[in-house]
Amino acid sequence: MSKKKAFFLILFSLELALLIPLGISQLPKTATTRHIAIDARRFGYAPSRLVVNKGDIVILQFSTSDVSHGLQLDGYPIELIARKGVTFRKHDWLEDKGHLHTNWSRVSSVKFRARRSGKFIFRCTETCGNLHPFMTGELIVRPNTPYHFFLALSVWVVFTAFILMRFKNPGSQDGFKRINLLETFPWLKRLVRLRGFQFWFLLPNFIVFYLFILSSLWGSPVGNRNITIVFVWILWWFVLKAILVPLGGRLWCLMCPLPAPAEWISRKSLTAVWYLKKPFRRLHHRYLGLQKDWPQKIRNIWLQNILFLTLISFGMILITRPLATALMFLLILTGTLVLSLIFRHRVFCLYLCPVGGFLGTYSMASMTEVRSIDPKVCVKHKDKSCFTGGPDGWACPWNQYVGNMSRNNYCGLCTECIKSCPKDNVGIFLRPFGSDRKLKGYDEMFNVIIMLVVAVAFSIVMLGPWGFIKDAANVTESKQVIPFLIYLAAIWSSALLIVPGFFLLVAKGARRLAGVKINSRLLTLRLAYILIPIGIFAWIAFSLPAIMVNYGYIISVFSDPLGLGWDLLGTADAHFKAFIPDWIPVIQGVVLLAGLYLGISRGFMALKELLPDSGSQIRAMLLPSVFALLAVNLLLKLYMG
Amino acid sequence: MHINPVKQDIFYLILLFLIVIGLPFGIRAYDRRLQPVQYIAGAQEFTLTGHAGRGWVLGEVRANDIISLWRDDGPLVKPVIEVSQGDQVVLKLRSADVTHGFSLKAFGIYVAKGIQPGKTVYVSFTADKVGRFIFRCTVFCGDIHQHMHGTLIVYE
Repeated sequence: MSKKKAFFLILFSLELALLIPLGISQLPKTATTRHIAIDARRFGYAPSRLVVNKGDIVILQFSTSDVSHGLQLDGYPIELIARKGVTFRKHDWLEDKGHLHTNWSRVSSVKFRARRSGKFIFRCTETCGNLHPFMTGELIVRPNTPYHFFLALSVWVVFTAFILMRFKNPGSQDGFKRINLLETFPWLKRLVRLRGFQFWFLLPNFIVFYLFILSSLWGSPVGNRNITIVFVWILWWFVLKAILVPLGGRLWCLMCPLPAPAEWISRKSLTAVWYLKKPFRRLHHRYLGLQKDWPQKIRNIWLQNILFLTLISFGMILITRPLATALMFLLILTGTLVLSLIFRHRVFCLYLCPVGGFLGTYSMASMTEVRSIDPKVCVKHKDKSCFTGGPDGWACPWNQYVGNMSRNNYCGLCTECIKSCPKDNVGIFLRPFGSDRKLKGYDEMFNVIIMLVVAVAFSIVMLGPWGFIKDAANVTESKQVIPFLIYLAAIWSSALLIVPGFFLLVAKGARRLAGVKINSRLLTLRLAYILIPIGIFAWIAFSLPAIMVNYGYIISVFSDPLGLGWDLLGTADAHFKAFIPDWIPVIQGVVLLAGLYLGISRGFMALKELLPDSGSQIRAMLLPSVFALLAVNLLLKLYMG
Repeated sequence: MHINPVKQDIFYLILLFLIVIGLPFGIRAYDRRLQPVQYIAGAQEFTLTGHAGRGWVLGEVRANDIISLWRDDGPLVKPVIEVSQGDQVVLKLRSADVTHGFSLKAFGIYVAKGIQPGKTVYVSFTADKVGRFIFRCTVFCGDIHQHMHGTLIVYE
């Protein structure tokens, strides 16, 4: 196939992908008048999914069966509040001087025409209890053209990825070269080499997390009024998933304040290095405590996988109750303190931290890496100061040897090796997205699958309109033990059995299709790499509505961090208003498609080194790409359909 | 830049201590200083926190309070506030969960906007009548809403 022909094929298929949904949207239909009565009850609407046709006139009645609830419909100027027996509608108008006036009037129903097609979420605006921020319903205006567009485009993305696979030569993949940031920016190097670098990076987080613990114990018990919930589970989670992980990998580990006290105590210093000339059990330092090494058998991320799933099981409670979040922080803090007195290195972060598991696997795709500049220098260097420690830097707290480190998984970016290396042979490199492509074991494959399953599960539970699932997840309040157990069984079995089993079958099929004798474990692990970019982007898509809808809470909590009625900056009464909420599904769709493309193209690079010829490579990619397409479409259906 | 590492560490240690000790004190001090209504000379101040499971709880409900994690439907509390005739009374109204309302008809008090969680509504009046008066929640807040009331007793 010539380049011209391929270009033509890609364009032609794009046209097809755009024209089919456009055609469907032009089919004739008759508009009717629809009477819909919505009843609100903690924490869902009934009916929660309204389906109407474009052009229909909707007459909406809104009432509540328990406490005060609101209903704000994305994309329409409709905001209602229902108190028992009464419904109010909000009216806004601009005065000549530009002042915005608001008034509430009693109404029995509201009438509007469903002008735009697509999916529009309506959400509660009155704090109605712990799960209030997740109380949503959806209006689907058919034909759902945006969804049809993205459905067609997702197939087109896979098609295009396959055409492009034929052109790229091995080796020329990496697009642009790695850039050594320390060489390009000498000021950065001076900064990083300061002993206090990590301390100053971490200090703001130390203060903020200390405030979180205080406020989640003594602040408001209402989650969306407490800084802990709003900052940790809306702001931090989004920044971690959408910025820190894709750009910096484990950059969070550099500034995480939770293991810091343990590290300070075990080192007996805050920034200074205590260097021993004569090494003690390979390292040039003596730490406080027993200084044992972590057992070889559990030097993997299985424990992290299990702990993450455990945490996720109570996810709904964790992210809505300040007290639960405080207990988690205190537990982690205690864990790091106890373990640091028994073991050397950051064993908690390496093998136990629930967040650490996916930070490791996802950092494989991140755009930053710490590596040796010239590996030959490391081979010749006898002392290996990066690993054993030097007078200017501690031995790698993550138990890594930079000289032959080829993956980001266990590198916490603490920059000690840059300080300890006497040969000045360690750099921080900027690199293309998706550069480390070798998963080492099934623990990592399972981690990647668990993350994808949890992204889907959370999208259903937290973003979906189904109140009964929220009740099941919210067991401490709803007291629905059996639905909760079913909910747990569904998450654990799909994360550990069903989806991994399905993926292993896909990998088996891929091996057969490739028609080449090849180690099946190796092939399966390489194929699992596809799910890393998809997972990262799925989590970005999942976290987007949280920040776009709830940023108002962030602004108001700035002024009243503990929910004590303060008003530090005059923003405490910021009205709840989402940022372009009617565009959220489309933005999520774009993010998901980007993940799909990157997943397939980077997964293909991971696979390429294993298989001899272009034919077998492409055949091996077929089934896994369909798997990826299905996973992305499941999320597209949830967000847009 | 060569600073003695031990001296540097001592500086950092002092910094950390200041933060760890200073932050809670700072919060407390600000919280105290903040409430201008509190300083009506000689006023009797009471905090009432609306709770959808417990009714009117006298005092604050903090996040570490176990009732914030397990929403318990009982026991219902019906607080009694006692003041003397002529006292200036300040009520600090809070909510531990959903929007509540407040009315004390005998003194013409009705909080129309409701008490939003995380917000504080101050109500002040002079207890010029002697007797027992009922205050109640005026926004439907859950199963116990009908029973969510308390008593103000004004003694001679």
